[in-house]
Amino acid sequence: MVDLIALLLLLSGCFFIFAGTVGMLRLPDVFCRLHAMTKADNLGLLLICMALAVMDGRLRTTLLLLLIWLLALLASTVSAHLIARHARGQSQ
Amino acid sequence: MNPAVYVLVAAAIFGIGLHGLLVARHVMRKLLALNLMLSALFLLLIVVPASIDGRPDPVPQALVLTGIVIAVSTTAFALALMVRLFRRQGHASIHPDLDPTLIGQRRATKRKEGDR
Amino acid sequence: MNVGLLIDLLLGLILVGLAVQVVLGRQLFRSIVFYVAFGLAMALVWARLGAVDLALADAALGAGLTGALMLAAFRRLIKLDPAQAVTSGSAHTALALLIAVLAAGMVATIGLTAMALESQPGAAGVAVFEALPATGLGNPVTGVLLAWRGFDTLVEMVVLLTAFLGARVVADEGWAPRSTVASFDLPLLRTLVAAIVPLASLIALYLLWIGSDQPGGAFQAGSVLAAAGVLLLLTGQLLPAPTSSAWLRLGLVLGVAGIGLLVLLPMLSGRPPLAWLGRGALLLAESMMMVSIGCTLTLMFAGAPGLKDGTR
Repeated sequence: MVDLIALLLLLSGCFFIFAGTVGMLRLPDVFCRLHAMTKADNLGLLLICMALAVMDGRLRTTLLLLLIWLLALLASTVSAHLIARHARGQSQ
Repeated sequence: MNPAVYVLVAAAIFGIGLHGLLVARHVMRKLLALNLMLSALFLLLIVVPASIDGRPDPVPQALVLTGIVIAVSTTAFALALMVRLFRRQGHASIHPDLDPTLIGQRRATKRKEGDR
Repeated sequence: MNVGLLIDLLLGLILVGLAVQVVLGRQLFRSIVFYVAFGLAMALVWARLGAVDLALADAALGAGLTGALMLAAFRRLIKLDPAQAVTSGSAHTALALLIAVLAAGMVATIGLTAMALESQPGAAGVAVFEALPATGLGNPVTGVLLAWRGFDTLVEMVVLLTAFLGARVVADEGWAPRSTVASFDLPLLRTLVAAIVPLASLIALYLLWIGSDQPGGAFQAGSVLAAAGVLLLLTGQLLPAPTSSAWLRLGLVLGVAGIGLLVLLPMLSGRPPLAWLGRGALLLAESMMMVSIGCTLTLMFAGAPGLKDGTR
């Protein structure tokens, strides 16, 4: 039962990351690609972290995975902001 | 865990890196290719030895860890050399004779150095 | 065809594909970015092979810090001359292709033959596992690095310091002092620094402490510290300076001193090292190495002999 939940979470996480990558490759503009990369990838990473936490079951692992996700979120937020500012500065 | 797959992968990456080293003209591309070759050899060093009671052999691991740090150090030094080379001759290639677009640049640089 | 073989084939395919993109990229920037991705894929392969220390070290040093150093050097080239910085010539010849294919064949033959010959576990590794409980350590790689092959680690620290000194000797005086800073000062960047730098220091100390028993150690901790230093340089909190303070120079040589004392003092006192060293001595030497690695790699990224405060 636990394995089934973990499998579903893992597959949906992989689907979101795949969707984000497809968006990054196929969308026309830098700003649209930033949408795909940050939103879809962070959601996919959250689902994968949840799958790993469910598979392991300990509180320590869950808290560490949450910390990893928050750090990834922080990094992608700041990177996306800087890239968007640079792109806007260049297009004006 | 199938070591044979990784041995073939390491061989392929070594070949790709060597091809890049021979073919590229920009020094930084040569550095990237050298780093690829290094990574392939590290992979070979870890994959080939047999595991001891299921745990990987620690002596090659320590050697490859040393190797990674030395690879970073040498890359940093080589990058400093590349920047100095670029400042001196105006382009980052060490084969100016082969690239016809750079021969005019080399003559111009020589003229500039002669003016000093 | 079990799942393990499938995972290995997939990882191998990813590695080879990324390597091809590094070598074949039209633009140099693209090749550098693909090299960073290749380093991260290598970290995955290390984790798959069970070498977790190597995974941590390759992700931090091989992918992260090498990528940062390459991008910093690339940026210096662009600032000097944007047109010539990215000459995209390639001398494709059939001879080069032949040599590459033959070399790949040679490596494959060596690897497969060695694998067939090395069916027994190595004697050194077995000896390490047998002697490990006597030292009080739980991580065999840390034991090999410090207790049994300490001279290799001494040489490694000396190479790191020498590469930094060599880069300083080779570089000339015309560097731009603000070349590592992002060109604007945002509250978001200050928040990032305020959140990341203390956390990175804590993670570095944790990796150092846990390296005695579990995957971790001085090199991984030092590279996390160097990552924090690179972040400070990129956001302008630290700036490159033409001269270095005494503290910084002490930090640079502390690692060589630490590991040197650790391996040379037992030789002088005549006792075998394992009878003389305790866990505390190893941890002290490792912490000195961590400080030194962090300082050296940060200064290598800055491309300058010293650092000064950028917030004033």
